[in-house]
Amino acid sequence: MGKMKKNKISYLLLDYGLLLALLLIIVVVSFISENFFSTNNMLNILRQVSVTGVMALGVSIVIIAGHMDLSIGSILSLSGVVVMTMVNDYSMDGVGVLMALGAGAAVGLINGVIIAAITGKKARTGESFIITYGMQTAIAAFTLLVTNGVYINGKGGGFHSQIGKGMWPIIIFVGMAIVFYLLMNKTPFGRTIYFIGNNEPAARMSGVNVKFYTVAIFVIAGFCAGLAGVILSSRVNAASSTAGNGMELDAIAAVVVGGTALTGGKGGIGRTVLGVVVLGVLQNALHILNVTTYPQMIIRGSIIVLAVLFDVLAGKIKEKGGKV
Amino acid sequence: MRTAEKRIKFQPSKYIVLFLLIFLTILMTIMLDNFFTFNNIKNIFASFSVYGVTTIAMTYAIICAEFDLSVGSIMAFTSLVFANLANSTNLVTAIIVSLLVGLMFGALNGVIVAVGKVSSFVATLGTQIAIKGLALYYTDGYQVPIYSTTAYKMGNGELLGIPYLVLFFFLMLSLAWYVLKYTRFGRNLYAVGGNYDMAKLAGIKSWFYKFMIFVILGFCASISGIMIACRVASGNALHGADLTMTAVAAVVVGGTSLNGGSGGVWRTLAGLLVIYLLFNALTLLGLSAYWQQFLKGLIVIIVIVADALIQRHKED
Amino acid sequence: MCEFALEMLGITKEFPGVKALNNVTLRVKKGTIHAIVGENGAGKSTLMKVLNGVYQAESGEILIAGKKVSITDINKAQNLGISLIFQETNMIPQLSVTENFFLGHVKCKKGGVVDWQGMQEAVKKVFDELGYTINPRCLVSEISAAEKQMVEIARAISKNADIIVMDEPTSSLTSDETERLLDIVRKLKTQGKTIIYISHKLEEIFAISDMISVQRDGEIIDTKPASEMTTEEVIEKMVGRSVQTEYPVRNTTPGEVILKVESVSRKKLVQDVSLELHKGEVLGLAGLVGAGRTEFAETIFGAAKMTEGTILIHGKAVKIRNTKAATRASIGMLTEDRKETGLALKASIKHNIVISNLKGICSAGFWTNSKKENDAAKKYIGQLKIQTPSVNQTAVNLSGGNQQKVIIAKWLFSDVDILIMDEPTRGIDVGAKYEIYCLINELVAQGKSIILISSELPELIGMSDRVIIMHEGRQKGELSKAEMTPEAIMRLAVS
Repeated sequence: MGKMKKNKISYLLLDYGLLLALLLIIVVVSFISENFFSTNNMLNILRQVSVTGVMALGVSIVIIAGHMDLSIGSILSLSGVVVMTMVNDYSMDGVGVLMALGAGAAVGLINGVIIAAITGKKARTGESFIITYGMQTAIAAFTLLVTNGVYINGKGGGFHSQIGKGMWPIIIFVGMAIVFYLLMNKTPFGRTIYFIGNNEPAARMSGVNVKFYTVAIFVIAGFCAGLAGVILSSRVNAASSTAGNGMELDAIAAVVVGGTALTGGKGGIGRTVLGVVVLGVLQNALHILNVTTYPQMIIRGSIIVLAVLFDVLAGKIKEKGGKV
Repeated sequence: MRTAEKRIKFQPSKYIVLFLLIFLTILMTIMLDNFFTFNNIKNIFASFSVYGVTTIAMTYAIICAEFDLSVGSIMAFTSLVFANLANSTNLVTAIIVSLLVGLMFGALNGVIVAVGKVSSFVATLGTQIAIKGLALYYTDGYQVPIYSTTAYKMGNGELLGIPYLVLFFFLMLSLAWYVLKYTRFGRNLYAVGGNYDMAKLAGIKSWFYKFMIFVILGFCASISGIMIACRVASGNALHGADLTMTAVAAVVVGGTSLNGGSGGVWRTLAGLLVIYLLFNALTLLGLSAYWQQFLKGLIVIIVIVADALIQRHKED
Repeated sequence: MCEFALEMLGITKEFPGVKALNNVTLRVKKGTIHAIVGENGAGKSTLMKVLNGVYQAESGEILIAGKKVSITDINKAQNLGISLIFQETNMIPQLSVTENFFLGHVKCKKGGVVDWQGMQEAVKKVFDELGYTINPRCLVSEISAAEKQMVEIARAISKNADIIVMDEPTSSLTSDETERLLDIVRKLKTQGKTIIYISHKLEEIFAISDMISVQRDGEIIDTKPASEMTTEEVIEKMVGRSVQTEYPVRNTTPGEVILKVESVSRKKLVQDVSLELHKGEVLGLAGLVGAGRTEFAETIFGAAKMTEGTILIHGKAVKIRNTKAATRASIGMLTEDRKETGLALKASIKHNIVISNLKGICSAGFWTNSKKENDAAKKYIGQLKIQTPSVNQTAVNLSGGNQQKVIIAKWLFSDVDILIMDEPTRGIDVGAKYEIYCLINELVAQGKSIILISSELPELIGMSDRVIIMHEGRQKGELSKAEMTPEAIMRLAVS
């Protein structure tokens, strides 16, 4: 009985270890700087993470299904450009937002259709990595072509500019999180996604239309990236073709740090939210500690490397410990 | 077909890239005026020689079924190191230290992927941004101009009308070809890429080969960094931003399979030529550089999809 | 001077829940072809894996040429001159035959330069000795299954193997290729090699073996010279009891036609197969490996594309484009490889049971209900007697038999009318097998129809109402309950 308990504790540590480590850092920082733990700052953090957070929600579904989407950064830029153009040139805020979301979903659709078409019947070989990587380059270039590399400044004052103000980003993020949580945990759709991530050929042989789900998850990820683009462009009142550069890394890092394995079938929305918040707090902490942009990049990169290393390690330990 | 004597089948898919190359060359000579001039051809070769060296290393990586997204950042960082050292000390020191830097980053990637058994895609996604951050931090985002005229001559000089960089590229290419074909190391690379576990069962230290791949990639990326620094006489954190994408596109167009276990450097050369020919055509047609980037992403997707669809068709 | 090249004495090997080898004693004389026959699950492959160092026996000893040895891994086995040739070849398909030959020990000239010519010549030499005409420069992906086998044999010889074990070597071969292989085996014998030949194709066994050992339920029942045995004697010893009493009695009569398949083809794998399946019937599908039975099943189930043909359910034509359409048409399939395509091993039992019919656990439209899920899981765990501490147990921790029951539960929960079972009792212990047979009978009594694909003739004969035999993708014949004998089935399967 004692051994069982020890296993349980070590499992908990494995599941939440990295998170605990980061929380520790945060506690330390809040002793150093007073404003850190103020309501204002906390709300600010939540507002800031809402963009990455929405993206992370979408991509976690892709990762749980065992795939990857590296194009979400460029989708964010694209959607920002789309909505800003509609706001500036045509004053059609509502339509612009819808078009931006549609653009994200459309790119996701292309991703999904391609990946569904080329995934073989046997176990997966990482097609989604390289396809979405190529798509990222293509979409980023496409956005560059459309904007001619020009930075678009918003007029402001309309519906669109309200999205990024006040509590709205937080409401959107939390709202999406709740919707996705219900989707993944309480609907057949979510159940099937977990199963596919666990063993895609087995899902297929159980009567699951895998192709449909593959397309669906990328549409969702694209839509979320589009939504993130709308929020961000509203917050900064501008859009550019490089707005989303590198953001896919932050979104994926949040998912991995939260404890969702890259191999698929495990993890969840709650964990992603946790990961998003913790990384957001970390970023804010670094900012308060006067760590500049460049060292932050080094830290961001290192976090994802550490996170995946830990992920693999935890998987190995669980495998050994799990033998009954 | 069950013949007793199995002749080696003629596989047209292997030669597609060659046909494409010849076709493109002919097409462009006909349609574009200034294409088949010595200067233009020389420019094409000169422009891909820099990325070409790392593309050769990427061929090795893909044969071994691995990926490296961080080569661009390594190239950028190396160019800065080289620039600073070329200005403050002598060229030889600058080159040696730069190469060591490349080896070091390569080893870092190697340890993470080969020992940590992590997906190379995600791991190098992380190191890419970390090393880029390091590069930006190193010179606070500033370019470092190089004052050494020798360095500039290395990067832009010619021998009998052929740029030094091009000669060096072909030297590396030949060396890479020889190692792949005629050394135990090269042959084992194919085995490890073909099936990691089976190679291990046969007694090959598979993890070591994976590790060496990243060391080679880092080394070649640093060479590319030195080459570009000499060519444009400055080190810059923005160098090599599209290195990975270009390298992968060239390897994939050349016909080397992303699944590993097959392919070669001459194919990659053909792939490089095809891509740069297309870019050249775009430039001669007056289209902006953004089209090049778009094309790169599109090419990779198209080639992979085409290859996968052919495989599925064969499977069924 | 020892007459036995190999002696395995008192070998016992256990796995969780199953005693795979029980005090097995095997003596193989030098320079002979020694066959081991037995049904699936008798332990033949396990015994050979112990010999090859893949498994370690709990007790017993192994002697090579009279000397006691300890075989801890494959390399040790190879050094002792033991070479095992499986069905699934151990070669890297992207590399050439020569490179696979020299995998891990590439030949180099002085200075580390790869000696291509030397390697090609070495391979050619071995090939010539054996009478092969395969071009060593071909890629392994380009040669046929039979040729891959041949290359494996040549590779074993080049590594100076004295004892060559061949595990079901002809399962994917045509009759011509089988003949050629048997010639090669005879040639090996003249070269003084000792061959252990594992197969359940009795014709081949009697064609080339000197000695035959019969293995059943983890024990070697008997070892006698082939000349002193008859086919009936071997079958009797393999099965151990008369075929009839092994299987639960079923007293149902099939009803109307529920599934009609007309001229179904799938490229070269399935050619022009037509059959009818009745309500409340078990239709057996017999044939050697590679006959196309699984490929046919996959086509009906929508897992593979049909190039020609029609499928009619209750007389109406249906288009089964994917597995979802198949389940909607009330067809389910128990796959051959339950670990790869049957279960999500890392998921819990209850998740595995409900996946094909998630609507069944929904309440108020589209919300999944944990209580309904738990109830469903508990119901089938009880009904099928699945041994597990809880519904949340991860599937990977179950024994083979229980895993199979979970998959059956999945299709029960989806309430399919037609269930295709591909090798349902492979790798399952005797007790669980019987339970699955009883389950099949219950399903049939409820009016379900089953297509039973099996390589175990006794099982096929014991459980089917009718048997259809396939060979190289084509239908070769149909046998009624009265007509099905092992010989009759084999004759059609091999023709």
